[in-house]
Amino acid sequence: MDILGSTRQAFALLLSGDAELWTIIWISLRVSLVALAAATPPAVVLGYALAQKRFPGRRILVVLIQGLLSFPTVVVGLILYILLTRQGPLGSWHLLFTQGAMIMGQAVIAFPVLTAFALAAVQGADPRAHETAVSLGASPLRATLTTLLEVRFAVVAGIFNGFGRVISEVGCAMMVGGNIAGVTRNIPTAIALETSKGDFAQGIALGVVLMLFALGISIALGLLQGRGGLK
Amino acid sequence: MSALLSFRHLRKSFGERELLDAGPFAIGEGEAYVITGDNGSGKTTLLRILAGLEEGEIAGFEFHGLPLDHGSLPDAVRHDIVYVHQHPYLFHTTIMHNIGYGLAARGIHGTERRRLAEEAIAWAGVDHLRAIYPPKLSGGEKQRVALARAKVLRPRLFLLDEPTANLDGEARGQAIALIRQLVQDQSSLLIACHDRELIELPGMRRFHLEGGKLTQV
Amino acid sequence: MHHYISCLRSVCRIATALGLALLAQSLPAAELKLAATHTLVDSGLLNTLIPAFEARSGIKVRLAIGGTGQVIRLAANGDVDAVLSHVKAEEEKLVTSGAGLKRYAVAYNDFFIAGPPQDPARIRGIKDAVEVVRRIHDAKARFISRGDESGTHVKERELWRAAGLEPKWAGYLSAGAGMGSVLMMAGEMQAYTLCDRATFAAFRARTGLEMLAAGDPRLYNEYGVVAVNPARFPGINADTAAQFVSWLTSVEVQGLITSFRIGGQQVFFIPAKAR
Repeated sequence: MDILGSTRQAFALLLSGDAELWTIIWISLRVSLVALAAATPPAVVLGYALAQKRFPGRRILVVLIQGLLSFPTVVVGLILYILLTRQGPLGSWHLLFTQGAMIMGQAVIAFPVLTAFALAAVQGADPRAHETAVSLGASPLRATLTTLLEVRFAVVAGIFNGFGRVISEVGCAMMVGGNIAGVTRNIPTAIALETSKGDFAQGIALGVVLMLFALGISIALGLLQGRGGLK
Repeated sequence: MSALLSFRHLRKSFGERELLDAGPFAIGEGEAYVITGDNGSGKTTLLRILAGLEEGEIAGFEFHGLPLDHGSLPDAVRHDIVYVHQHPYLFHTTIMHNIGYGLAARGIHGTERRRLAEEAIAWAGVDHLRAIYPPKLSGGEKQRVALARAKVLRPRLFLLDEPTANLDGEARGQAIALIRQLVQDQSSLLIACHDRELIELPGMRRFHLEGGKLTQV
Repeated sequence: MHHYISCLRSVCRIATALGLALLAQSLPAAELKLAATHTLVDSGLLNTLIPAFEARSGIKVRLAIGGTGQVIRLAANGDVDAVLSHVKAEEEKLVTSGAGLKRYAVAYNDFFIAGPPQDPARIRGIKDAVEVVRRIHDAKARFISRGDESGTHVKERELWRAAGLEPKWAGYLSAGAGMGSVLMMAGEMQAYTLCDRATFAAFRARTGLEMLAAGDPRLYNEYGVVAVNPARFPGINADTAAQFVSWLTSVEVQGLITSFRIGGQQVFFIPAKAR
């Protein structure tokens, strides 16, 4: 087991634009970004509603969302698998072992994170923002959008957080995606496979990419915190 | 002169404590009033209730001849009354966007909106500040931008909450100058304050709030 | 005073007894680190054999499962004491390279091509395996490959090579997983796959697939065992490995292997030369 050699190989793979490697990275990005795009609007709407409206069951919903923040992703994968399998209720969609299933899984996993951050963001909004908007003649919809824009940094922080959670998730992705080369093999499932085969070069290369993503997210969050401004 | 805004009775309590028990009340179009009273007398609460930002028990509320159910201000009225906070909130965008906000809400866009906003910026004398990120403005600068943001909408009624309470020196003078302009333009104003200079502006009438009751002075 | 001394003596006695008990617990029982391929596990055979071996010998077996490529590598690195796989060439390479002692044949069965009952590529009943894969390729039918350097994967690649074809079309999916998982996937997607008789029988009910094409001598599948060489890797459990190998190739255990049934069918056979 030559770790140094594998590491050198890993960087060679990354820099040479190895097609297989970059397909894996592309699949990871595509699946996670689509999942976030799908999950963010409803999550923001729900977060806003939980923050601003009083309705029966509101408190239970808030507790539920916060509980789901660390819901085991393999259980998400299990439930989704049972739903999507051919004999299951959604079997006719033929989504199992496709990117579509992975996107569904990641959207479900990211949703509580996005909602919780949106909720916190709106709760932290200056109440005068909404009042000013209304007073200047904004319709309820416009006033809501204005409030959300005012807390946009905190909401975007939620999106980055959600991205971090799904880009490196392996349990659900493996189960509903099937780790099929060129189709549903993303960064974490590829790392799992390569490691189990003892081929560390590709695993290390992909691990480096994931770490760079994590670093990027960290930096972005730090910048956002500065801009978002602690009053 | 026909009443712009009137109500027969207004009551507001916080738990056991009754804060407001006022009425009948009426102000006319084109008239400017200050509402004076000690701190905690309820001036701000009164204005906020009239602005629709707080609940209150009102009987016989009429605005410009229209009787209103005070739960929800209809669009027409929302567009006609502008309330300015004591510490005005400027959106985290640009001064231009702030001033143009109400215009956009009324469906005024493009060159027309820009023209009106530029007029307001000139009126408030904040042209030299336009590149500054609004949260970074001083209290006095924010107040002037907020007044411009309200004036550009040509509302039927301005509700100003303690516009000069946190300002002194030059900033206060500039804010007072703008308000004097509004009075001279025959805008309808209801201003909660205890600023001597505002109270004594030519053309300014006065109500006094004490013990929950409003009396014209 | 007397009372104190007798108390002290009782405490000492209890402490010593506890200490000895703990010490006895921590002494290692004899152990065997065994690596085996997916197919032997997925079929359920090892689930029968290993407890039998542990009961007979008192040796605790620690099992590592993987594709052939992985388990051979474990043996080559001395990470296990013995290895069970089904690629004879790799097992013999272990011996010639000095990492293994000697290769023994343990059992055999066959591979075949399983697929959806509708059989879109029309391969049902065809004996020639090369013809089968050619039809699947030409029909661009869905085919799931192990993709994990396992014995099954190696065999599959041989077939493509023999057919002179490159398996690269939208329906050819490389899963990188064990035989059981691949069968489940093939069932889900109504695809063809190359599999061994035993695992197929074990998963048949769950997948809804059918055995469509078998009988080609190229599809012969022999399982072998190799004990790791203690001269190369001094730390390994050489005697438990030796015990395992001789037990596995004994007549008694050969009987166990041939009487192993899945769905009433015999799925493992003993090669003539090993009997």
